[in-house]
Amino acid sequence: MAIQLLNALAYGSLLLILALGLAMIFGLGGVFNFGHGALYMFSAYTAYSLSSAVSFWLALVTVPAVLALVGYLVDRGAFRFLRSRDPIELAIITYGGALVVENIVVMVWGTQPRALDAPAPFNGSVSVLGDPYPSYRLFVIVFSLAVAIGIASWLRYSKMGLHVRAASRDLRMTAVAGVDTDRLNAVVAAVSFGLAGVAGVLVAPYATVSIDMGARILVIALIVTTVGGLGSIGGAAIAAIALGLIQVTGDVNLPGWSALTPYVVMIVVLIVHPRGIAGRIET
Amino acid sequence: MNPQLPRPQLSRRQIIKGSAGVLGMMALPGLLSACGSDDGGSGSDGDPIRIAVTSATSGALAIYGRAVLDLAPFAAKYLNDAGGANGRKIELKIYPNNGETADAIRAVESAVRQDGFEILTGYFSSAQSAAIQQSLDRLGLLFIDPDAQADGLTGATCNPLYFRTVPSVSMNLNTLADGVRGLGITSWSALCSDYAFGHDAYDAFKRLVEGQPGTTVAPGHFPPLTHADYGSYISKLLGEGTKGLFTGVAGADAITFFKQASQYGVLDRFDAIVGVNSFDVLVFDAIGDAGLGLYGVPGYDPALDNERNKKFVEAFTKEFGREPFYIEANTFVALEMLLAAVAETDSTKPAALAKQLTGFRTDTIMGNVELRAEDHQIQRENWFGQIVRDEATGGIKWGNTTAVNKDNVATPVSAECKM
Repeated sequence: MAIQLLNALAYGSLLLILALGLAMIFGLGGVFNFGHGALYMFSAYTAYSLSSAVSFWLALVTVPAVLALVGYLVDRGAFRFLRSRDPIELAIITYGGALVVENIVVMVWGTQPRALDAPAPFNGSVSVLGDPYPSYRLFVIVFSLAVAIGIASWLRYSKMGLHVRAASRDLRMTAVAGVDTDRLNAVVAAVSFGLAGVAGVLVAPYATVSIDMGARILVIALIVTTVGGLGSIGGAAIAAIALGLIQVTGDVNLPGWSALTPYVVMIVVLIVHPRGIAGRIET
Repeated sequence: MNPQLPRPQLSRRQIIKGSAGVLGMMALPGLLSACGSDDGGSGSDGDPIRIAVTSATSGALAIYGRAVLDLAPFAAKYLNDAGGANGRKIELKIYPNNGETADAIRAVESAVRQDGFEILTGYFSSAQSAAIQQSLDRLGLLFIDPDAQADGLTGATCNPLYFRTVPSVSMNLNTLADGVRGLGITSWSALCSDYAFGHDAYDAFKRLVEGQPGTTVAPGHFPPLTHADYGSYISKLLGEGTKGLFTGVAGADAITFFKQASQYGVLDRFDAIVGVNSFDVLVFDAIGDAGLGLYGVPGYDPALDNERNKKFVEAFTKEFGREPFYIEANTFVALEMLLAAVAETDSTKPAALAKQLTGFRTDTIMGNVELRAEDHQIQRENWFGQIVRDEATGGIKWGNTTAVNKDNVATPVSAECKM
């Protein structure tokens, strides 16, 4: 049971990091970033190469940083001019971006899946109540939760976090109060892209690095974002861990149904509580 | 702690509209059929042999789908340069699909309805092949399947227009039989992907080993395709306390499973691990040393000592920088047999070709093979092997390969097959 709980936490923490990035950029900028999965996939491939050539730890620092810079530039160079457009146009543009990223990955790395060993000192297993458990998964849990707490603290306690929260409630009033909301949007895009980078690097030693990994996880991350409530970091955290638990429990007890459980959960939550666990969607 | 993230400025209607639009776009690879074509050479003397090739470009099995999409134009050019069929040349058109059964059907419908193709091959999962089989009569389509292995395709759902150039699951398990019995293991666990192939593989393995006195197989585990986290299954395997493990996971799923099982230290706990379709050259690098010592069915031996094979392997290696593996070889055999049938009949019409291919025996890179008249299942030898260290590269490769005679590979014709 303890192992299954840890499995749920490990999977849920990865979902949480991805869902946070999606929720942030959607929340402030109204950007349905369907390229989020492609960024995650690109980061995993980059982590694979950097880890093989230099070090996983270097990848964990540099890949999210570079992606954050890319996010900042993409917002300043593209999203900023598109915000007034119909959301479907923006969503389609991000989907087009995802196709571009996917093709770049195919050109650079080819189509064969890659696998990366867990980095030292987390390349072994530890005993949990007598059963072996991969120490890298424990690292993923701790690191992901630390990142999530860091983001939450930034939003709650920093001046910029205050501006972000204010702008999310009323963008115009925040701008009238003298806050540079364009810059705010760019920073949020940078954080969102950076989180995709963190998740991509973390997953490389955890699962297979493959071309379609982004599309697969994006759907689940969207479910986490929706179930959690599009405006809440706490809701996203609860939804991610709960979905991880449900998935793992389903794998063990209802294997034939486990693939459907995320969708069933989303339907039930949206029927019972249409705003998600802690969301505040305007209607 | 529950600080609010930025609140969306959009209405629910806009959200739904946006999501629907983009989710629709995500199906676009499927909708954009016939995105590439290759005539595989030019200068035919007669009417071309027009073949639609459909193959998955996403999903757990996409690595194989993409390999077939690379192979098909090469194979067409290779065979056309060798003279084609009495001067007739192969003309291919590629129809990618997204790995889902519905999209494969859509690709096939498009090839037939819009472009008038009457011959189909490519890369197919068992579920896709079963669905396409149901439409062959309606579409007037000849389907030569080099990949799907579910037993039922040449059993309960066999079809006069369906021919299979890959051994079925049960034939692959027959290939393993002597090797597995020789391991002397009396308790097994099993993990197979949750689709027709995986369930057939588990059933056939259970029949195989439970025929030995005192041997048991634990209830199978069937994770869905493209599963990202096998942790819960691995924990259950650990708890079963068996001595052997049987796997029926392929492609990216095989990589993920073996990598995660290695991290748990599970692989060392079994005295032997046996797999069908779990190991091949496309996943060797990714599985790495976790694969050392595993037993399986390579499905093809590039070192086969016949002139056709030697020339094919030489040309393939020159083109792709590695030797071909079983999926590429089976696809090539499909085209070889089709070409030979066209040469015999001087026709590219499904009815004439189906008549010729029924019970057809011809030379291929895998030697002289037959498409059995009763069920259209290829009859040929097969190979049992073990993953060993590749001293030249430091990686892993098939080794200790043993050829198994076609009579020992063969299964009886299913009583459920009614042509």
